[in-house]
Amino acid sequence: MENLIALLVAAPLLGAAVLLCGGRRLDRVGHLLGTLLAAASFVIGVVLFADMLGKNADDRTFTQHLFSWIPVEGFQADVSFQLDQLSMTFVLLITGVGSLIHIYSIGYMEHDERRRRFFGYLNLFLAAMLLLVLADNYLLLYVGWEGVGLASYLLIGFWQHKPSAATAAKKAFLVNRVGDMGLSIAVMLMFTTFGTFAFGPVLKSAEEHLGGGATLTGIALMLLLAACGKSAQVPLQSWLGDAMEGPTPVSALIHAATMVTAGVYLIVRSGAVFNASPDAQLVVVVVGAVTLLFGAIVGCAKDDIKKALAGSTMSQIGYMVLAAGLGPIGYVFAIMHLVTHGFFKAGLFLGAGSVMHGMNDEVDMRKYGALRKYMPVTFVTFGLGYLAIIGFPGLSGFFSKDKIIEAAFAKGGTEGWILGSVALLGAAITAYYMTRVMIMTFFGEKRWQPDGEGHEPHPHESPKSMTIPMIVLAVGSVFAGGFFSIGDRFLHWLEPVTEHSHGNAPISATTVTAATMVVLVVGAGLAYLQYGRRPVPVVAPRGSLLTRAARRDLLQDDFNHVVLVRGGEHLTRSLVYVDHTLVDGVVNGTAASVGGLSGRLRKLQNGYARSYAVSMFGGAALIVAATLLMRAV
Amino acid sequence: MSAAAVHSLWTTAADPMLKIPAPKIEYGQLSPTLIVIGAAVVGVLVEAFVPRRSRYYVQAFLAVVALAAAFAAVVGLAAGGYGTTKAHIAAMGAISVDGPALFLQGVILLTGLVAIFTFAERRLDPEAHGNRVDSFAAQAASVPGSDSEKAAVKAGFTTTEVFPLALFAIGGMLVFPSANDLLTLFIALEVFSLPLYLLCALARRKRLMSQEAAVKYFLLGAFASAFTLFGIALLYGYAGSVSYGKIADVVDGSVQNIDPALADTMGNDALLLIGVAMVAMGLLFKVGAVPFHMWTPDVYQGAPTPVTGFMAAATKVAAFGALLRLLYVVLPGMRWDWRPVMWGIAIITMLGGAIVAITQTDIKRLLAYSSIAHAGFILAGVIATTPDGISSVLFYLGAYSFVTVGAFAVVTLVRDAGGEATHLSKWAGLGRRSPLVAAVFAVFLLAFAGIPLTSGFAGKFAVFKAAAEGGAGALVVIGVISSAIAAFFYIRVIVLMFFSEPKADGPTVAVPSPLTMTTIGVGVAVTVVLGLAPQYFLDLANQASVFVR
Amino acid sequence: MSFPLLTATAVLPAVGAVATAAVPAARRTAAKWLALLVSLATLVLAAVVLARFEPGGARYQLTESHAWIKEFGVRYELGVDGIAVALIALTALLMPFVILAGWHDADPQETGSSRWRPTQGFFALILGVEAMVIISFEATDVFLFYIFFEAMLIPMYFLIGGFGDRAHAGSDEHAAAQRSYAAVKFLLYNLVGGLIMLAAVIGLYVVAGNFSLPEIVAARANGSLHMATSTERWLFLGFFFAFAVKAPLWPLHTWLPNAMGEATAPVAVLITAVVDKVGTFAMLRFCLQLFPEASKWATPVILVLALISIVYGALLAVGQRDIKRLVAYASISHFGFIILGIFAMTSQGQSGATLYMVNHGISTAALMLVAGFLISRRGSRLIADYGGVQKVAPVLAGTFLIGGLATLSLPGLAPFVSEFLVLVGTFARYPVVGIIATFGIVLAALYTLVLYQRTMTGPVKPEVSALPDLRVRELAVVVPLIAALIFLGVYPKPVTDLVNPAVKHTLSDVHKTDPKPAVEAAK
Repeated sequence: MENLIALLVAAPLLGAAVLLCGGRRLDRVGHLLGTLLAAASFVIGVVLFADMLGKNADDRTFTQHLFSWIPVEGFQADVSFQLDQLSMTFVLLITGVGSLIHIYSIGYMEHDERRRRFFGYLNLFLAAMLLLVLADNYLLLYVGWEGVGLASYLLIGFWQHKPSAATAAKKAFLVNRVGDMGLSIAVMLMFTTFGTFAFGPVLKSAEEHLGGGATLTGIALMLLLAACGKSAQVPLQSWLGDAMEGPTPVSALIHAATMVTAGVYLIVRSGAVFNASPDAQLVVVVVGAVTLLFGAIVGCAKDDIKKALAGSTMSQIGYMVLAAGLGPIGYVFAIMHLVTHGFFKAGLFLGAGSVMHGMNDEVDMRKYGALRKYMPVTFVTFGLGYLAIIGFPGLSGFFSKDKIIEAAFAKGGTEGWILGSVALLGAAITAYYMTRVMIMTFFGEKRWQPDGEGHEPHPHESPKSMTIPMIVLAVGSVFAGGFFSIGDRFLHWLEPVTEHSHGNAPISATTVTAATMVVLVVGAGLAYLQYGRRPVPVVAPRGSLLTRAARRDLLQDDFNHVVLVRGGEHLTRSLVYVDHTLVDGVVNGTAASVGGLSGRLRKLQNGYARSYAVSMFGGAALIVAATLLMRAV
Repeated sequence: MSAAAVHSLWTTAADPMLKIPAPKIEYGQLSPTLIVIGAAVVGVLVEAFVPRRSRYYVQAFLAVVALAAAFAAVVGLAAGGYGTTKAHIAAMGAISVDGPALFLQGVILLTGLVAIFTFAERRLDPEAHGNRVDSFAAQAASVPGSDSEKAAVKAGFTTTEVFPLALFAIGGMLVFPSANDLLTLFIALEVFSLPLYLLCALARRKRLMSQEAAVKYFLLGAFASAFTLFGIALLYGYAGSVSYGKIADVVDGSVQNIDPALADTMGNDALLLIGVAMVAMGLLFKVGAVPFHMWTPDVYQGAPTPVTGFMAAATKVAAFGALLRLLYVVLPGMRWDWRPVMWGIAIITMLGGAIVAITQTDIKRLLAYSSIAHAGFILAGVIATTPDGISSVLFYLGAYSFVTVGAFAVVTLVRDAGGEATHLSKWAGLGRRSPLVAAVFAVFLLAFAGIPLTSGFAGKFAVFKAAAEGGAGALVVIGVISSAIAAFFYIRVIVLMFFSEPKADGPTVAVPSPLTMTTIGVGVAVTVVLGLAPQYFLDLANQASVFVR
Repeated sequence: MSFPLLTATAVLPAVGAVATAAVPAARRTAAKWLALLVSLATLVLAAVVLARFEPGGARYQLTESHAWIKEFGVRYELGVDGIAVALIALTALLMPFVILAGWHDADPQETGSSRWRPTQGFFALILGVEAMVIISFEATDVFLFYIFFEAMLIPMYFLIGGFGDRAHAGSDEHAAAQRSYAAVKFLLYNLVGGLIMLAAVIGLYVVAGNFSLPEIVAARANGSLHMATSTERWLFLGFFFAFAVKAPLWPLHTWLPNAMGEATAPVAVLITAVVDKVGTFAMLRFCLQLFPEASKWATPVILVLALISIVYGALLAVGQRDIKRLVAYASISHFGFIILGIFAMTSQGQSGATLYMVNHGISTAALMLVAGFLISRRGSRLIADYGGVQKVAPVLAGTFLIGGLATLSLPGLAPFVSEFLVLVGTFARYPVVGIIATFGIVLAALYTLVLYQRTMTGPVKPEVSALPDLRVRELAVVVPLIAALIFLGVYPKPVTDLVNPAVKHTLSDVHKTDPKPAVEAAK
């Protein structure tokens, strides 16, 4: 059975290879082949899952060693896989949501002439993502890590003829590379500290050296840097909004449900390292809390539906990171929220895609309105996702987010209060911006107008291939949380891997739930007052200072632009100048001065025999003098 | 031979206590010189008696046969062990027959032989009035541009005297490195210099320049000779003898008996030092070391190119041979005095030659400065004062002379309406027009530059190695720096030839007769063979590296 | 006496060069095919070398030894260790692609010149370079190595100066002047380096009395050859200078952008993928082995220079406007990594550096040759002249992207393995250096993706709208290279197995052992 693990990765990889190298002949069947292989991977995942369920909790770690990858003296990197409960969860999420989004894309990308390639990239992404979660060592994880980065790059920039898409793709890759730098430094630190970077020994050693000092903190912080890049956490969050340039299924799969949560996976997977370093954990929760608010605030100000959702994604992952930073109290909830978020956020994005599909690819919510009449299925599925994400009682988000808020309070002390409050505040803002999205899109009056060429959009429901995945995801959004929570099922499932401990919450769980409900109502109500009771202007009002800043991603991009882009440009330009004038100049200058010397010496050769004779005489005199001098000395 | 006779008169005159013995001359061992000089004398007679029409053929044939025979004699002597075990001093102490002498004589004869081919080349210039012409003036005596010159051209006169003149010069050169006393040295110097002065004046084209070069060469040469002679006198005053061996004995103090007639001067170190400096200066003039090099560019440029090639190669061989013998046989006892001075000269010669060459615009002047730089490299080997130093210098001279003769032979081929096109700008694009000629010249240039797999590299490595082993590491470093500078201008020529677009009015490459082809072919062959498999020749040089005392 | 396999591997292309040069002027195509066949035959011989070599066996294998120039203590001594075998294989592997990629680069522009045979010359020179490079990898005699190290400059020089890139801005004269400037700069830089090395080679002889690498190393190890500290340092510097010029290490690098910019793409590949490797190879083989103490003495400075190369080369690549110069600066950055790996003096660093040489060769070849195909279509090297190529020539763009991704060391492609090994090997001994070097990976992403974005994406520029996609010949060049990149990225074991024992020897020569992990990992 364990030998199937490699197939999980192999199936989509094969798909990618065939689709990308196959050429035009495959244009007609490419999308089907891609979907089939994604589904095949899902089936294998399910088979393995069933097998795993049949075993004792302690025997649920499968390994498969394929081959020795980089054997060098004192250095051993293997291509081998480890499938445990944590990775199993991810496998199912990735292949499940992945398959749905493949199906959705069949319809969504129907009119794109490069659809085959799109499916190739999607398959490539699946393979890389599965590699990421299945690797049994950090270096192989790194391969998957950058592999998903590549797939993300290719997919964000899929419509390469749009300069904005190409720029966004590049930006995503570059920001992620900064995070990757952290991952590679972490791996190097592991190697020099433990002589290995395989999960087993590293985590075990980390555990044994609890409170292991600076080195472990260093490793943890570098892992966090990597996670920040991939999961769009402050300060490396800037790429995610731009990444919405990609086709919407990509936003759903990669930039909402799976890839961006890889950072959470990394932190949870490396739990032992973080546990050993409270300092690093503190940084993690701070990053999570800050991003949580940051994303939420940005989400409130965006009029672009996908960017509003992107802000939301950032914020929700902030919750997960916050939970992961809490240590064993939060790991399980981080992953649980990750999974439920995978359902509802993918659903929301697919809904957004469906809306755009019907609206001539318009993304500005100010030009939507009243769409519930035109797109009933989309409206209902989107609405369920909406309810799930704001944490409406009984739906998925309610269970998972509530637990995180609880755990934040359970951190204890002032910290616990601060974190808990932040989480609560985040829940309020979430309710606010999601209600805003909901109202602007589906309620009120229709605000769309003919575009420049006189085409008026004719909103219509999307085809079956698109709506079915939306429905499936909506079902997940509604029930997953509850299903996981019955009897703490999810907790028991993951506990052997992530461990779990209960904190001492200063306030009871009921109080937390009640508080959550209150902030939810406040947030949603505020949005209703602002957007539901008054007409939404088609042209965005100027807004307050905070709104304007939030529209510009809280000026983070401006900062990047001034400091990094401009500064970098100046640096490279001046270096080009230095290289030309200084480094090359020294050499050319030497050559020139030898040439100049030559020109001057040449003048001594004036053609007059008398001058020559003088030179000879002088030379002779010098020789004699020198010879005598030598003797004298 | 007259020189030997004169010499013995001088030595015996200086020693009145002895009776004058009958001179004893080992004709066999002196045969190479005798053959060449004899042929030269015959050549003079040919000029007098053979009809003008057939003189060219007779003279050329005579010269070639004489040089070949002389070379055979050298080989015979070497095979007979005169270079090693039977090395001794012949002609009553006047001439050494030893390894270095035979080796250098062999090199001079072979160089002379291939150079003579370029003297005899008559296909390069267009025919004048139905007569084939060579590189030399129709009638040396006529004023350039005068009616008599035109008449001579019209009549198809040729200056076949160049062959005997060259033979005389070669004869002198053969004696120069084997001279074993200062007077023989001086006479040999004059014997090979005077014909060269004349030869330089004989260019068919650009005759004024040629004559100016000859006058300069003569004036400066005479000036240098005067210094040499003065130095010889001082050395005689110091040692009471002009014989190398005796001077050496006095220098290292093994002879104390003072000639009463010279009681005031003998053993006076000031005389020794100044005398040595003066004699060395004369030799350094001939090798073209800075600051005695000033004649080189002007003369190389003005002289007929075949003469330049011959002179550049053979003179350098002969002069370095003499310098080696002077420093290694006469003055080993005072090497601590002359080495620093020679260091200085070597350094300024290497650097000076290389640096000034950079801005040259005439290919012949460029090669002249290149030859100066090479003189510096060879001096680095001379300074080593080890047997390796001698052998490396011998090898270098052999390698260098063939490259030089070959390179100048190529220069004779590139011509436009005004004769040889020596201005560098005219060489632009030569590689496109005549890839083969350009490639051959490139090989010579690379050898000059000391690029591996050419003889130039083997030679440079040999002298630098000897210098380093002799404790002159700094000199090696300066040597490689000069080589780098020098590489620049050799490469410049290659760039011009291959990477520049040919000009519409550029020169053409004349198709030479087999004579020049042989010269160039031998040059290339030696360059490549000495580059790839130098061992045999290094062995030869090694065996020949012991001076007889 | 057994068959002289190593000699044959070098002589075959040399003979092929002569034969190619001798093909009559009118039979240009025959010359091309001849050259290609010779390069393939050489590849076969290289494969035989690879097969006959036993990684765990003697240090130098397939040795040949003959007297050559006794006078200079020079022997014709050949022998290969794993590092040399890997690099010979790389050279032999790349040559057919270089030839195939340059198939039309030397076609005479005007017909009628009967004696000038540029095509024959071009391919003969390429084979000549191959022969010389191979023999310098094989030579275990310092002098023999030196000779070919220097001599290969000449054919390279003619290749750069004589067959420049036809895609240029400005007049023909201007282009010719640029080209010859580049060629001269290449030659003079390397010649100066080589001549300074010559002084050191002579010095080595004076000290050691012979040129045999194994003998000198053995004599130093058993104490029979003593070298004064200052002597060793001077000699080391002499050798290192030459190799650093060739490698090229900052600040001796400025010849490379000119040479790679002006040369045709296949020649640029020849320079950076093959010829320059001799420099880094020689650091590993000669600098470290002959002068272990001096190597350690110089390490701090060299590491700093390598770091500067990495960052500086990458930053300058970002600032380039010319595609080929960009790749050149990227190479400078990569050579910084190689040198870093060598002087980190750890198993991972040096194995990584060797692997890096191989991988960089393949990846640069892939990127540069595709760039060359692109440039030859549009007739311009300026990045700004392109845009949207992806739309009209997707295969070209795709292969270009893969080449670029290899250049930025994407995991899964070969360069990642080597770059990571170098980083980890450096980090193990010098953590700060390792971290700074890691910035190189971000910068690499920057210049690669900027290049790709500006040339391949965005709206299609009118001038590129009719560019044809890759042709069969071009695919035959690119596809195997990409396949090799992927294979060695996924399964580098064959190369590491080859290299590891040699690295072990080298490390023991310099008396260095790998740093131990701080904590013994739990099992």
